[in-house]
Amino acid sequence: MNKSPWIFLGVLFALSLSWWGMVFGPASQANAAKADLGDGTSLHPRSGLAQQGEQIYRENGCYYCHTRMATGGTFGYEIQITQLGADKALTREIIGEEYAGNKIFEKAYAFQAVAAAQDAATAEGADVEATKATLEQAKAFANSIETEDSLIALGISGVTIEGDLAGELGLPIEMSDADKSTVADATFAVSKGIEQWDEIKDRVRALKDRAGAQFKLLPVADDWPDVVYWGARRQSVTRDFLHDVHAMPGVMRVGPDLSNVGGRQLDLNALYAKIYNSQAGGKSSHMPPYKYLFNVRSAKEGEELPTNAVTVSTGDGFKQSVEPDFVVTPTYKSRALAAYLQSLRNDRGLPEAPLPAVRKTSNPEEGE
Amino acid sequence: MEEKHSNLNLQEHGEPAAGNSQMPVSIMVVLTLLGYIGCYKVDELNANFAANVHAPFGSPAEVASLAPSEAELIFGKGKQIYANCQGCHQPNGGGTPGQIPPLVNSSWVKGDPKLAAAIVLNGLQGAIVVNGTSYNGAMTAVGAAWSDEEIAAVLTYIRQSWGNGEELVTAEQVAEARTMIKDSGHQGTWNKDSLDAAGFATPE
Amino acid sequence: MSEEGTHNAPPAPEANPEEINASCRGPVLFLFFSAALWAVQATGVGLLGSLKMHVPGFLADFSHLTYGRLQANSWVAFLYGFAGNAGLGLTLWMLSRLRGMPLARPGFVLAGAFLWNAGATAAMVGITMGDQPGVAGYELPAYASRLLLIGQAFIAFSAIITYFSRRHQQLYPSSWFLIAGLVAFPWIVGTAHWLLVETPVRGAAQIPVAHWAVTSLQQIWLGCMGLAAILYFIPKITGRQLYSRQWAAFGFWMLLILGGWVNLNSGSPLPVWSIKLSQYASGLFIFVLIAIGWNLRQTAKGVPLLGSNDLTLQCMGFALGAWLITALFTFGNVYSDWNSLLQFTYAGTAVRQFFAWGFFAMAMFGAVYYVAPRLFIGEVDWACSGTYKWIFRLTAIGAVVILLAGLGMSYLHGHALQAGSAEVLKKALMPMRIAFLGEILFFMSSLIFLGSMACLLFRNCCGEYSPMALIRKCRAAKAEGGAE
Repeated sequence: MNKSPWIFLGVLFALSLSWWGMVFGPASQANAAKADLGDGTSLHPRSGLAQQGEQIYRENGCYYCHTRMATGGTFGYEIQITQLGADKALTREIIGEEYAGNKIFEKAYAFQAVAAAQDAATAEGADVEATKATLEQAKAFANSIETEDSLIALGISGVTIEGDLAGELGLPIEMSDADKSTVADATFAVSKGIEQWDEIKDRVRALKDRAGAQFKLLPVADDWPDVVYWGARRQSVTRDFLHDVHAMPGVMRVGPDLSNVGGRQLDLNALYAKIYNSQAGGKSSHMPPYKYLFNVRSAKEGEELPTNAVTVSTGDGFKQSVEPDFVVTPTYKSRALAAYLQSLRNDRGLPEAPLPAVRKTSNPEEGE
Repeated sequence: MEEKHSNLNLQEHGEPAAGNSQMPVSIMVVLTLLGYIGCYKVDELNANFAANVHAPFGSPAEVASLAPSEAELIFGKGKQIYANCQGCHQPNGGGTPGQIPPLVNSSWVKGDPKLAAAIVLNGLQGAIVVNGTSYNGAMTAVGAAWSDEEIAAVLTYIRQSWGNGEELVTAEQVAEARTMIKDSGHQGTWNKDSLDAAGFATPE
Repeated sequence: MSEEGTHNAPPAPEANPEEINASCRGPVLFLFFSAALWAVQATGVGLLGSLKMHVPGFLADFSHLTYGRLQANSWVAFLYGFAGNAGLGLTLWMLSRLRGMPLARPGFVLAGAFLWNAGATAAMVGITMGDQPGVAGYELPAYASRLLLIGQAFIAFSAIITYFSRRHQQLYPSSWFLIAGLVAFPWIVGTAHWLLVETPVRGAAQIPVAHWAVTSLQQIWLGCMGLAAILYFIPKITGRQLYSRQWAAFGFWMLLILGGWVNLNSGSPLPVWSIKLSQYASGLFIFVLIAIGWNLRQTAKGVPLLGSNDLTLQCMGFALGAWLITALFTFGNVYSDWNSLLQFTYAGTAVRQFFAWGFFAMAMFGAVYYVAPRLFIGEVDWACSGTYKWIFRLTAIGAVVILLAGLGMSYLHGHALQAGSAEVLKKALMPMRIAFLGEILFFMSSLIFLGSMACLLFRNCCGEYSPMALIRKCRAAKAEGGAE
């Protein structure tokens, strides 16, 4: 320790450790990232105007209040049966009474029974009286189950019921296109809320191997606030910053996250109005106005607003200037900034970051 | 350190020195253990230092399992290439009534993919019947410069879109079609008869 | 141990403290006074920026005064203006004293100090004109970082000559930290300058580089200079020995190794491995915390640092506590749940402000209180040492307010972000509004610091014609007049 030069060498060595790990390693990995997505498409650089906008964003320090990185959450799954198996008792046992008690489930199996009876009745050499009685019984049973979703029940039953028989069962005799797609896309969710793979894997195997049901697993954004609440469509990854001249992921969310602002805010005028004065039109916001990015001149008596004027809509559907009695038009700088903001989007999946489904679950849990 | 609040005491102790107390061995052991546990955790969670694994994923295998399958990639690529076709056949594959035949539910499309590949490669003119309607137009050899993979991709897209629901087309099938064209000695745009003659069975 | 390194040349004789103080007078006082000016600048500009969180329309028509630009300016003024000047000044003085040799080449220091301040000024002007690289925490335009690097090289040259001027003495741990600070600055700023500004790497690669630079500047550069002061003054003023050289060495090397790795947010758009590695480093940071904390606790056992009647010791005690608390927050990042709750809130800024003012500025205030009067020969004193106490009090209260308010409110903000609450905007602003109070206190203490420095200089430079002396004369005259 007392040998003076060694301190210098030691310090340099110690500093170089984190330099290799945090600068050289990740940076050279990111440097090697490809713009090619592998599906015949690639990530494109921004347009010239949007690239200018990146500079406006940087100059004004927008990144102090806005992030443009969406964080990752968790994928959950929902099990959706698309076609029930033949064994009703076994399916009931696997999915549990909670879902088997649903009228759709009963009705679907009733349709299966009707279809089977129909087949038996029309088969050659059938006992006409007996099969007819069975068919009537099946029809009566099916009709005794009242549900508004009989088309969905038909869809997941996997059988085809057409013509007069359909009429007798309360199904449309001539199906419209909408009805047809309802039947084709029918699903029956048999999971509570969104469940993790560990929770559902046994049920999934039993349904597939033992009950012979067909189903799909829907990956859903589960515990994923940025996707569920804040308008991002997936997490931000390294390649999202590939074509940035200056990467500005941001630090704080005083304002909203902008990783998908281009996907959310497609109306250019609304974007201008927001930048010009985010409180315009009585909106609640604490973003400072950036009026100096616009041309502002006082309106002449009775002048109609030019088409490129920035407007806000009044409550009764009319549009008025964002600054009453003035005509506000975007300058090159605000057009560039808006173009940059519109180029920020993550509503396209990448191989390393697929888009999760965002929707209400079929069986919401308590309090959801 | 007896100083009045208004008068700084300029008397000072000598320069400080450092004592020689040793770090207790027990603490060193604990610290080493903690460091080791940390290393173990990093080893477990580092996802092989892969550049493409971002939270919430934990391993390259997980990313791979959620990435689009080979078939989806081919379909996606075909969709891009179809931009060259939709000017005539329309984005919905419906064609133009009386002028351009539809691709939806067409037996020309849904049959042997080699036929469709041959048409994309060399073009087609003259009278044909599609879905019971006669057409008499001309299609250029749009795919003459495309690779086998590109033709397979666009045919896959056409055969799997708009309810056509056919199997995907492989690059090998396109290559076979090329060989058949070469063997037949045919050059230039097809018509129905020359297609039949070259062994591409056209539907009636 | 020192005897083993004996060379043929006889050791140079140790200079006496007065001689060393005299050699440091010009350059170090220049640096300290610049630091005081910059402190006012940093806090004043910061206040203007924070006002916008209360009144969004305030100064909104001036493109040069956006929140982003003011914020960047404030941090640059603090980091390179205040911290750089004060830290470098203290480095020179402490290295001279620890080596027992007068400051070598003071001319280089003065030249370097001019360049350094020119660099900081250039950065301020550049940012105001909209020229910043887009990294929160590293806002230097290319020309500014060049000036700063050259200026620092001049100052470091003098420091290193002083350091090598007398070899045969065991190095006190503070000098390791000081040397590390001198080496780390060009390394960090050079890397950031080169890879982010001069020839920027691809956008995706800038994120880890920027994080490393920002974290290292704070943890290693500021950390080394501040800890050097604490490790020096606590034993010096209590008249004790530092408890253990070994503990100090352990803390020192761990700080240098880990300082650049820590605190990467779990939501950063980077591969999982770099985030996990950073979490691991944050976890290991507990070693640094234990090493420094234990060593100084054993050293100052039984001495109430904060309750001491020595202002320097009070400042050092508070600075040490603040450093330990921020180190604890660094360690907290080992829990990704905790980190993902707070990562986009004011909490990071609150801890940074606490580090900057509670730890670093406080250590500097304490050190300057001790050093500055000693640089004058003869019977000198702070003109108004009663007011200097207010620097300590205001800074301490401000730092605590920012930490508590920032964290408490950020906790609510983090929950609102995770729960998709509609009140998220209100909750985002609350911590900043309360922290505004703390910033006002910092501003006031900076003003007092500047005033005290000015008084000291005038009084000692202008002798009986200094304003303070004149005021006293007037008072005395008045008192006489009143008596009559």
